[in-house]
Amino acid sequence: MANSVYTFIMSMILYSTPLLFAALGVLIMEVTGTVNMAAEGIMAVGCYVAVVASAHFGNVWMGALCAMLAAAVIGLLFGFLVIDLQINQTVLGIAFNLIGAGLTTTLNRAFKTDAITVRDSFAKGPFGLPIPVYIGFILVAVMWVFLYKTHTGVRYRSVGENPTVVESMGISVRRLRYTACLWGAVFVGFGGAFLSTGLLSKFTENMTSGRGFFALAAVTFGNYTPLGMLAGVFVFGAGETLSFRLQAGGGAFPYEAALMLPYALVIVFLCIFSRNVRDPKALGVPYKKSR
Amino acid sequence: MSFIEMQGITKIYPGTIACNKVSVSFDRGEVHTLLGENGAGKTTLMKVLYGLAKPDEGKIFVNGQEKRIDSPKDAIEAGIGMVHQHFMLIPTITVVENVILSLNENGLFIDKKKVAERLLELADRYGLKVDPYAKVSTLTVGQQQRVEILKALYRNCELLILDEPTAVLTPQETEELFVAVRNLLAEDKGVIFISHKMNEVMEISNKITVLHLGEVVGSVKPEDTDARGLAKMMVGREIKFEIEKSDKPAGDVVLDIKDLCAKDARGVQTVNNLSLSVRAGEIYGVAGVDGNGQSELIKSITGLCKCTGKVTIGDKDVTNAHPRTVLDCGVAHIPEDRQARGMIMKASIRDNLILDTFYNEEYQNGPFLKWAKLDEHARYIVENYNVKTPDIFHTGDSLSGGNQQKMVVGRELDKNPKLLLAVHPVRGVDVGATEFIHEQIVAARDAGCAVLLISTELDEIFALSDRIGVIYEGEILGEMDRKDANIENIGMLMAGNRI
Repeated sequence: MANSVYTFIMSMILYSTPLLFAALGVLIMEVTGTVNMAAEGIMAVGCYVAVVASAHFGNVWMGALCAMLAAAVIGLLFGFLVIDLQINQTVLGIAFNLIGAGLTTTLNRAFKTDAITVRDSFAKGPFGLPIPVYIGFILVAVMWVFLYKTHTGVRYRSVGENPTVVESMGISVRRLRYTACLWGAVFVGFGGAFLSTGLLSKFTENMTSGRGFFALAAVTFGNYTPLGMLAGVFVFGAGETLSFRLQAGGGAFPYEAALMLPYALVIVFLCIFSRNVRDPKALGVPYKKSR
Repeated sequence: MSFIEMQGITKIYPGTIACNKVSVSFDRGEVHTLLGENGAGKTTLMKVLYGLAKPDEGKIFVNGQEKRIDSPKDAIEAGIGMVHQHFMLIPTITVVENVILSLNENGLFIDKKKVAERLLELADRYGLKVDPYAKVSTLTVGQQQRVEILKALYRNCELLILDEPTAVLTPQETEELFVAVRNLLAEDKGVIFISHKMNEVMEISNKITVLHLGEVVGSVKPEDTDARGLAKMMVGREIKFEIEKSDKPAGDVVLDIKDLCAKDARGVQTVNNLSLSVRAGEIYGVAGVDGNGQSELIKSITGLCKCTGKVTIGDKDVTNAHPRTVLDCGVAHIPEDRQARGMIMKASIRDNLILDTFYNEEYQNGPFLKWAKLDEHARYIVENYNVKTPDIFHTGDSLSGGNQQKMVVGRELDKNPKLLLAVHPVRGVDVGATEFIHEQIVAARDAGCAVLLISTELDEIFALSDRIGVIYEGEILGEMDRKDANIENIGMLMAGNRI
């Protein structure tokens, strides 16, 4: 019994990791007031690029680095469109998701990427989990310290609430939001890389299966705090692990219901716990400098 | 030599000259009040001084040296601090974090402890008590204002600009603010005070400069003038403080409230077995300190919150009725928070003016609206109630506070209501507009409308009411005719003492 609880927790942590990175990226953007609906699309690109680059270089870390670079470019483009051109963030996010899914699918069919198996894998740390899992946990702590203990963190939290006040202190709202978009996309991209090269060693079409949106849900669930977000991530990880167990177990439990489980779980948790969540006030509102 | 001297400041906005060759100087150790109607140029002048607006002409001297002030940073360096009318605070972070944000320091980690210690020391010195580790959203408006003042003091401000600081405060909080202001004077700091409230201006000022249409009318000392004289300087004409009312006797009971109980949003019962009635052609003034159940009383009548007891309008029982049902009984409502409840800031003036009439039969043309007729209706109100705007298609938030209120008052009174609920009808409104709004309310009364007036300003209650009731902890503690009321007996009741 104790042993099966242990393995359950270990696989829950492992399967949560891609989502954890995506959620970190979503968190840092949303705290500054930018809705990151694009996470799903950025993650898909991360998955694809990581597999191709890992196979090319024969090194998963190089694959992850390329995925992050690709994500950074998308993040800056997203930033330019929402910060400077002030396009509606939700609509643009959906557009990015469609492009992410369409682009990776098209490239996959053109180049048969899903036939590639990545031979390299991430080194294991204590308890036999891959190194990025530990990096993810450390980043949650770093994010907490950053948001609550540093000057830039205070500015990040403030700019999502009232950019006018921040600008009046002589601080550039634009710069804060651009850096958040950049780092946010990089985290999400790494989440994608770990999903394809860390968990599966290959790319399949639509493999993100909604994780970008779950990242959004986890951030909301956690009331825009790093630790709350982590709890939200584990809810989904637990659901996914349970779903795998039920599918593998055969038996009477219907396959379709097992697949549905993590999604249903998130909806139930959001309904119960998200009633007192308070969004950053300027979330999704473009900032216009006035003078 | 004055600490700060502004010379020949001119600021032109498209279409208006906000300041026209304004020269004024501010000294240490005194409260210098800027007085003027909405749009007289006070706020623009302060924006120029604080580096938020670039003047088209004019110079600023600090300690006799000319200084360019291009941004708030320059102003802060020169020792100028400003407390804006709308606080520049982030509600979701703590007091100390807000101060840290305003310091805009470099370096990686914040040092909350160091900042909090200095904050407490300043708070102690000037009598501005506040918990540095409290989240700003949990503070009262008065406490938030203290945080704003502390923020300025933390940055070694020598001259503090307070832009209408008392508009949002209760009388007690105003007293506390004045204590702090006097402490600042004792340390030889200067204060620029902007307010519409004559009694406060007379109480706190050492020097008063009056602005009218962007120009300085003159400077006086409070001991050389009185409220009437100041009002005349401000508006350029004599202001009537007493309003003439016809002495027609009151008619039938229009609003009757029996044993009303209601809870506020937090679930605290704030109205306790309250009973009162208002007759046609009479103004019933409810005096009392803010937060004694006035909001829930009005919400109960208008159907905006659940209540127990009985509310009757005319001969119709409207207890817990739908707000539309209540409105259809001929009720007009000037709400306490005009920007939240009285109007839609981002909607046009026309749309604001037709909010509760567009659905009437006379504006319907099958499934369509008669827009030309609605425009005409809106223009009629704008003209009749002196709403100053280039046209009816500008947004509501383009109007000054006083004109927003005139718009709301116009919309409500134009319905020829049977019952008018007027809650703080002149809050944040200048003397000229105040006089106008008061005249309109009295005109409605003379025409037979029953008026329930809620105000925390005793001057207003005394000037308008026929009967006065004092609300204390959710009940009417005492009720009397206007002629029997004076500051002493009403004040006793407001403080919770039965007579």
